Amino acid sequence: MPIDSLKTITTAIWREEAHPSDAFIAKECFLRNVPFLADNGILNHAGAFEAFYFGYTGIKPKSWQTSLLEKMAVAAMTVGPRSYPGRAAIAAGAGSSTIASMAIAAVAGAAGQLGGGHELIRLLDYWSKFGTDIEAWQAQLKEDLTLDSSENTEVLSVWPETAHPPGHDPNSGENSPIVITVLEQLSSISKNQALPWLAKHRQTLESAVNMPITLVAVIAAGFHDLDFQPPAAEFFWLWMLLMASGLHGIEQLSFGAEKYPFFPNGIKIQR
Amino acid sequence: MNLSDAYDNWVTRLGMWHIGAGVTLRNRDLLNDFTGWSWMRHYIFAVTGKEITEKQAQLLEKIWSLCGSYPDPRIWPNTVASICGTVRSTGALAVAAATAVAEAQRYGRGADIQAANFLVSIKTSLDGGIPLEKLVLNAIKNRSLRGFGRPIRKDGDERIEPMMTFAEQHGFAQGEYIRLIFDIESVIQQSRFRHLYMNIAIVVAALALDVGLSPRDYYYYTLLSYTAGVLPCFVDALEHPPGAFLPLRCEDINCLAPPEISSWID
Repeated sequence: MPIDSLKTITTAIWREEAHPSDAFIAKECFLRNVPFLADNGILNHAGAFEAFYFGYTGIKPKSWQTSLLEKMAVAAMTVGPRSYPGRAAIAAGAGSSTIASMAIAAVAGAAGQLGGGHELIRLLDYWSKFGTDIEAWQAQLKEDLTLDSSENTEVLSVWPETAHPPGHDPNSGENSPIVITVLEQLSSISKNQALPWLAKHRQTLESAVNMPITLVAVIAAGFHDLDFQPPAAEFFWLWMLLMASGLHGIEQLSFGAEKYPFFPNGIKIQR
Repeated sequence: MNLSDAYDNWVTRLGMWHIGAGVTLRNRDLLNDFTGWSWMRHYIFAVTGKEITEKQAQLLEKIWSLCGSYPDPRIWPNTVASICGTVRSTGALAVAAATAVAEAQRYGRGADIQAANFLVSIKTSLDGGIPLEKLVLNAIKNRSLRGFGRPIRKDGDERIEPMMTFAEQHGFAQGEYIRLIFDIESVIQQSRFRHLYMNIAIVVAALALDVGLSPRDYYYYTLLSYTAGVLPCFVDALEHPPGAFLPLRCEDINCLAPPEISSWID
């Protein structure tokens, strides 16, 4: 199609009926052909997680699927204000920045490869490649452990290289009781394979790289069980971490700069 | 506004890309008419439509270098960039988030535009015949004084001297707004509020107003001013191990709530 004739939004999931007297006002809108306003529509009958689930995946979720997605969002809240998305949000709150900048900071800090969105994507890629093949997982994680990112030009992209196996904590040898409990609870909700498999084989994976699993490993298994495509899963994870971080940023608005950690002796100049 | 009039119809003086053929910027030819222009001069022209001199562009650039680009990861926007580095996020996300966070009330863009606005309103009242002393003391009283006093250091701003040295060397030290801020400081120093030292926000605002920027133009100009401090913090964090940026322990959470643990179930 010639570029100068393009002025419409192309979509297979959204439709609107215009108001008869104003072409810019919708009198009804449809998500994947389901109306919002009609008696049998989304506004009347769907909860937020059901509606989002349906919108992002096209699946009208069964109750276990909605419960699992909701519990993943609750689990995200355990990251707390020490997490980097949390600290990005409180940096905005303590300094009296705009609320929207607090959200942007939290998302930027949640986007990365230490519990964040891009690490989730790598794990979902492994799930689609390896499924429940324990040997393939072990081999890949071991390879990630030894990856010398400085020599790997094939994967050069806007994302910085990271040498740790995704879903594993490079900075602790200790399992997080929170992660283990979340894994147990989520795997009891899932009626699919990934979470129960991860609960069963967690220690085998951990011993392959001598690192404990992290929350994002559990979350990735959850999204795989929920049949989320990777971009939708990443977006949801960013949103969950955003919501988990925002409450801490909002609280800091009232404490201000004086209560914000400044590390007066924390920076040492290397010559 | 009748949206039907705007449908497929964006009327603008700014310009456009004539696909494959060239670029119009404010009725000039971007690819041919700006040879020899510095980026800062181009930026100010594109954003405000005002044509400043190369010398003024150098001043505006020096302001960014000296006053907005501290490479310290503890400064809040820089902290956000360092966080992006330590979690292996991207450089663009770091710069975008830090730039947004720098739009704060107490410092950064909020303080900047208020400082410029404050000077313009003082000058307008002064031109209307109200004595400066009265204006300044009123501003202190009704908490509308901007650009004097500093949240972190209370004893003066180390950036003023090098900035004013540059301004003097390049002929920018005698503008009417620059003279005004030193007059305001004299009034404050003779009052019981002499602890409110001038900070760099008011100096920079005055220099920019003297160049001919409005307070709103000035805000646009300052938007990217932290970038040379922000992005290095991101890169520096990338050169450290992931998760190594000033980690906090559980006990570093100083919870003010009473220690009794409650239940979700009533």
